[in-house]
Amino acid sequence: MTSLPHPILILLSPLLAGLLIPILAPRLGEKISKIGIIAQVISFFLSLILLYDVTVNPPISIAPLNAQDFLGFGLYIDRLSAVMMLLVTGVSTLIHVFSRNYLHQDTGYTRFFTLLSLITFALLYLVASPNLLMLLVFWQLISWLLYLLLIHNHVHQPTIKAGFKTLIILRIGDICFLGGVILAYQLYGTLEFPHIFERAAESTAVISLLPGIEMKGVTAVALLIFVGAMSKSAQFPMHVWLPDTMYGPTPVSALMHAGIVNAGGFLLNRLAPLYGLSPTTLNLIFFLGALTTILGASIMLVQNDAKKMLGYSTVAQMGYMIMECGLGAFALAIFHFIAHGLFKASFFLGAGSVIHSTRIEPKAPTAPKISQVLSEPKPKAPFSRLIWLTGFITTLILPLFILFMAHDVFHIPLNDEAHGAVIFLFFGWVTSSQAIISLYRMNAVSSWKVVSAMIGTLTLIVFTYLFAGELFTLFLYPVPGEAAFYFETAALPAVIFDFFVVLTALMIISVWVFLYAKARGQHILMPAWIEDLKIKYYVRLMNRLYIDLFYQRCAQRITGLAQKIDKRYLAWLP
Amino acid sequence: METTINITQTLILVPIFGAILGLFFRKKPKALKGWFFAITSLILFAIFLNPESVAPTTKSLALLIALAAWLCILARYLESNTAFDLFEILILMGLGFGFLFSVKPLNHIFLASIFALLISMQWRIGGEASAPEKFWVIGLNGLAIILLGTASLFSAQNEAILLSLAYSMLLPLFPFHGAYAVFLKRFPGALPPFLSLFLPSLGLHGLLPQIQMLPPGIKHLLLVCAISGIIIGGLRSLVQIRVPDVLSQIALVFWSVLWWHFSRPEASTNTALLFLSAVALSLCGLFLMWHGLAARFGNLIINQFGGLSSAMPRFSVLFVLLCTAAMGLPLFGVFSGFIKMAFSSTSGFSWGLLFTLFAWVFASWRIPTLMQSLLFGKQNPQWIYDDLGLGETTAFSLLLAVLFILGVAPQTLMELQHFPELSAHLSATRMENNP
Repeated sequence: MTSLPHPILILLSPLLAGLLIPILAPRLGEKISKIGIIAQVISFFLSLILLYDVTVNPPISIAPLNAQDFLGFGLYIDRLSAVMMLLVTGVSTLIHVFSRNYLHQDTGYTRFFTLLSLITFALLYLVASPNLLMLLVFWQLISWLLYLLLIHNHVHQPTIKAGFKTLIILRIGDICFLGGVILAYQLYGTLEFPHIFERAAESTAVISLLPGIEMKGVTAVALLIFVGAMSKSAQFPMHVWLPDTMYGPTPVSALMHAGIVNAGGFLLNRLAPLYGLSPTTLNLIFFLGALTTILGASIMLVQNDAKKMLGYSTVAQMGYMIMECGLGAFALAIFHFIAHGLFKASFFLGAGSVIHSTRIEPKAPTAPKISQVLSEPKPKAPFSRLIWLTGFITTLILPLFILFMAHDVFHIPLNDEAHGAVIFLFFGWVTSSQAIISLYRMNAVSSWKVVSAMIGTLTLIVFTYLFAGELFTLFLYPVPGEAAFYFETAALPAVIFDFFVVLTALMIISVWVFLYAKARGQHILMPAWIEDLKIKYYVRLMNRLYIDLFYQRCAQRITGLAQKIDKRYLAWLP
Repeated sequence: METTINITQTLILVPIFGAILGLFFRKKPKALKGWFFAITSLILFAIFLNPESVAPTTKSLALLIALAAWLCILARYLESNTAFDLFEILILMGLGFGFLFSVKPLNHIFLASIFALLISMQWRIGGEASAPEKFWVIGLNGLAIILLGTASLFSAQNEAILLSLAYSMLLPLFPFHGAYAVFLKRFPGALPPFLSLFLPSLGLHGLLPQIQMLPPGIKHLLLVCAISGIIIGGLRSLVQIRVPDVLSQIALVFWSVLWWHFSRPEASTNTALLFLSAVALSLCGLFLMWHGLAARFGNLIINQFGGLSSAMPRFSVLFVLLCTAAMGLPLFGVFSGFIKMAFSSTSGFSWGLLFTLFAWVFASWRIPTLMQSLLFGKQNPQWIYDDLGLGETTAFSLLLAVLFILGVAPQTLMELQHFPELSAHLSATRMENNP
């Protein structure tokens, strides 16, 4: 319990801004953006103080003012909440500042800033919710506010269509989440976080919707809530909304990719003790995350629309984050999405100025015409053995290097049954391999600068993951043994885990072999059926595996059925 | 007791006499609206300040009906023709109070009068309704009158079944929702918004004493009808092309959720009242908004509208907020009402509950598409757009304020059962079941 007002002020500040902006807009015009910016700056600095406060003191709990009503507006702020509040207020401040000029003379200026302040408030309350019901309340509000922000340009039909698609998928997730909350209340009689976790651990309840098919109560609750997380974090098969939302204003894209899609990861972290009781759910989360990563990355590679590529890049990253949660590495997921969020926000906010510079720069290269590209002979790419060797060796010797550092320098036990340490190392290896392969693709010229960049990337990623693995986990889950317990619960059968690691390692090595051959102008002979498969899958991936089409067909079928019922079978009934 | 009778009698008589006196202003719509507004304000004030005389549930329902009448009169868009519907609203309100405040057999006489009045109203505007629609109205309302008149001849349990059937015409239950749907689709002016709230409120009042007496077999039947209502209403709402048709199907979906609640042993008066108030007010608001549009532009199909968000900003903001409430999103009453219903279950996760979640999917699908069709897209250059007036804006703002209070502080407003007590009750029940 605390008497400090700053946690409340952090939330009130954007809320007040959201309420004041439409009231003062007729008098202040575009100056109202300053109200939003000031509110976000106040919240950001107070969030910094709050983070320090909860780092040195126990979590802050503020009892609701309206305790007699079931929507009690209390607060619970622990380290996880404080970190999230800092991220939300930081990104929101940048987005507010950026939007001030970006939306200059826009007819929806007031509406945009009102909604931006309100969604910031909703995000802040979401991460500071004292119980599952309040979390659900703000979870749903975020879906609705995001939809309203996405349809900012509401005279543009594709924008409206994409906005509606987003809303309907998010609402399906929200409703499953609602089902999970109702079930949790029915099973445990409470929605307060600590009490749910306690009662879920004690409960042996099972539920049965069909005779003979039973499921542990905690698994059913965790699965239903996870569907909510899937929708917000764009997990397969609920990922289709994210790549289509690029019609929204750039600041909304930045907010969405840096903040809102991370809500799923936050939810899993907040309910980590509940998920820790359900190994089945964690294993499913891992597989869905892995599937989303693979599909997201594969579809991204073959898209010919830059915006869709960005969308699928986020889908893949979210899959990666969810996969980490599925392995019990909850803190790592938080670390991952903070890094990804900042990177993506800067990417989106910077994109406009790059385009602008290109437009005003007379020397900027223009895109060649297709006929020109076809007629001119393609220059042979210079092969750099130095670069290739650096990449190949670093990605292959990296595991050994990490093992050495982890075991002998950081003294992380590697022989645990839950693979906890191996997971951190594995993710570090995969991430750095991915980064180095990308660097190699972009800079296939012989240069010590590129070599330095590769080694720098390697070092940075390895140490970042080790930092995340050790310090950040300890920071977010300070109770001794808690993080290890999650790893143990999430542990996959050794055969599956080893298979997954070996498969990924083989994929990385194959990429290096492929790059080597390609750079030397050589062709790797493949059986005909593999070539056929490549073409088939290329087309399928380019069409996004027809998942969007499938949903469209489903919607048409439902509407067709409704037409039949309305006009043929029940035309006599008003 | 004497005081009680006087106040309730006054509440019955004032609207009826007010309507009769209103005949003096029948050629002056503005003056008529002012007179009726004064009458309904007086009634609202009287019910609000009279906490002791009637049961809390009855008082809440009376307050809800008076509030709906007040809002409908305030937000009534004045056209050049007479405001005939306002007379009907006052007379129906008077008869409705008669049903709420009197006891058997007088209450049944009041209710039968309401059914008869509705049949006569349907007869007068029969030209707009199709032959099957007329059949539904006359058939169902006639059946309800017969049931009300004959139910007392049977045993207590059979009487409860017959009366519940009669009340299912008021609080719509599939397949007896036809008359309600026709009223909402065909009646002119501010009658549909008023009736969308008025009839279910009377239905709830009549149903509450009967529901505990229904045998389990009938409750199973209620569950089947409720689930059918959710699915059929939800699916049919997707393909309607006129706003009242969409809203009447959405109404069926939400009222089916209430019937699902009644089909369960743990059905609670307070929870049902909260849900009914929130849903009824949301529907009343949506129908009122539609009345405003239809009065301005005509009874057009949905796709003929578009671009209202730029042309009518006040309308758009309030409509978006009302859609938020009607979709069952927090922080409005429909969400809180449903959550309270769902949490009161002691029977675990059931198919019934699963189907009620479909109601939310349908609402989240149809209401935003309706909103998009009306508000977004391009404006019609040939139309003259006229944004909401002061009366309409005030009415909708107050309506939203009430829905918000129902959402965040229903305990304060409606003296509902305390949430933790429910929690304790559930835990105790579970411990008994699993010693």
